[in-house]
Amino acid sequence: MSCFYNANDTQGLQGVINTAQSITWERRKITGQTMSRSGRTRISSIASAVPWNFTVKPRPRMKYSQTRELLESLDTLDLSIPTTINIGANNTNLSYITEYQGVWTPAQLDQITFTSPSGLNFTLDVSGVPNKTFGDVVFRKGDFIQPGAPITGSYRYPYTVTDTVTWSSGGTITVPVNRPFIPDAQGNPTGRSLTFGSDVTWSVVMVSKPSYRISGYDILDFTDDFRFVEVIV
Amino acid sequence: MSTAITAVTGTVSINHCVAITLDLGPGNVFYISDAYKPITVNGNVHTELGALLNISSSQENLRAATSDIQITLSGIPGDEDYITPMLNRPIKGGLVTISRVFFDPETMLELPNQVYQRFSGVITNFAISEDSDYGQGKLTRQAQVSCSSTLSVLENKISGQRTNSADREKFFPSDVSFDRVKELQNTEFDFGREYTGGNGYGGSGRNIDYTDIEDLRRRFPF
Repeated sequence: MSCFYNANDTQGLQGVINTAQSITWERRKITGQTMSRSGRTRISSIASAVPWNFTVKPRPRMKYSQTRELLESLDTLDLSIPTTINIGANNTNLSYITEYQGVWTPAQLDQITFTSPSGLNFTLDVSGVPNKTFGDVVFRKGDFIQPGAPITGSYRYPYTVTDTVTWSSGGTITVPVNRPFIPDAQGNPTGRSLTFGSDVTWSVVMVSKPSYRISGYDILDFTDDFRFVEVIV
Repeated sequence: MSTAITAVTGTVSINHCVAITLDLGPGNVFYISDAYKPITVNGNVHTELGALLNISSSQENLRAATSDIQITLSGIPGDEDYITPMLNRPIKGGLVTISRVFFDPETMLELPNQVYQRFSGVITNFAISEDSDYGQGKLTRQAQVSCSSTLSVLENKISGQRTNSADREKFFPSDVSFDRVKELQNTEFDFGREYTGGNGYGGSGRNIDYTDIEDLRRRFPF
């Protein structure tokens, strides 16, 4: 991989992701804790949507002449325009981060449809999945899952699976996920296919945008990390 | 103001949200929440999830407390625009109710009948802050509603009758006994002085002027 930004990479925040030196994310719940003098702990949290927060350290010492399109697209987005990102679909070198861990093939996964949500559980219809066998590990803990088609889909929020799910029998499976199902103004995803692994997308907006510094001949650095947060509407 | 909360026994973790009913007048009743999804509280669906920025702490005491709170709302119109009704309508006196709704932390679904009112009061003031930092390229748009508890409003209520004809006639329309209060106010009386007629007031209507020799002779004959 070149030490300079590849002008063929996708622009905007996706370009920053694709060439990042490091990607940090957190999904913190809004929580309070107390510990009594007798050592008992009590926990209280707010039933929020738990948005994703990303901190991306951009690659240093990029070639300015190859980065002008990226800079322009970042300035266009600024802190005001949400955009969509993925980790691994556009830059396959990153796909290991979000890679699907189950045993079903893409052709089998394509036949799964979303049935209904119930809090922290999704019910998925797998009756149309061909060649499935008893004990198949459909999802492993940490798998990424998103109702609807990628990027242009009608549902915008990704989830992660919180426990290993196997298929034994029947036409449905119950998948526990990391956060409660967030209703989408675009409609209920019931009956639609899902997106898995590195194909999931996040709708994000920048909350902290670094400045650009050109130093030396044709060398560009960002002065700080990029921070963006998932947009939940 | 608040009600007892069912004991959460056998668990160390609770999950909750706040549901606010903001009544800014007819046709302007807003149902706001900080939950992850719309929730139904007392038959009203709290759909506005993108407006609530902060609620100040509220005091609860064994004694009836007259606590005030501030609710900070987003000044960026989303599903609702709060600034327009605040500016265009007399929202002072609007009703505010804050409830807490509990969820099952395992399923993140609302627990049935676990809605507890935490605050009831009226709007006493509002503030709209718009801060622009052109150098940093940052804007702040907030609308803040100040609310006093119902008890605080009752304490501020003027009770009884003031000593003027207007208040008197409000309760006793034919009673004219307070009609001259306005004229009698600040009038000085020479109590004990012999009445000599004159201006019709209960006294001379003026301070005793001992430099008036005729008056002195009349008062102290020798």
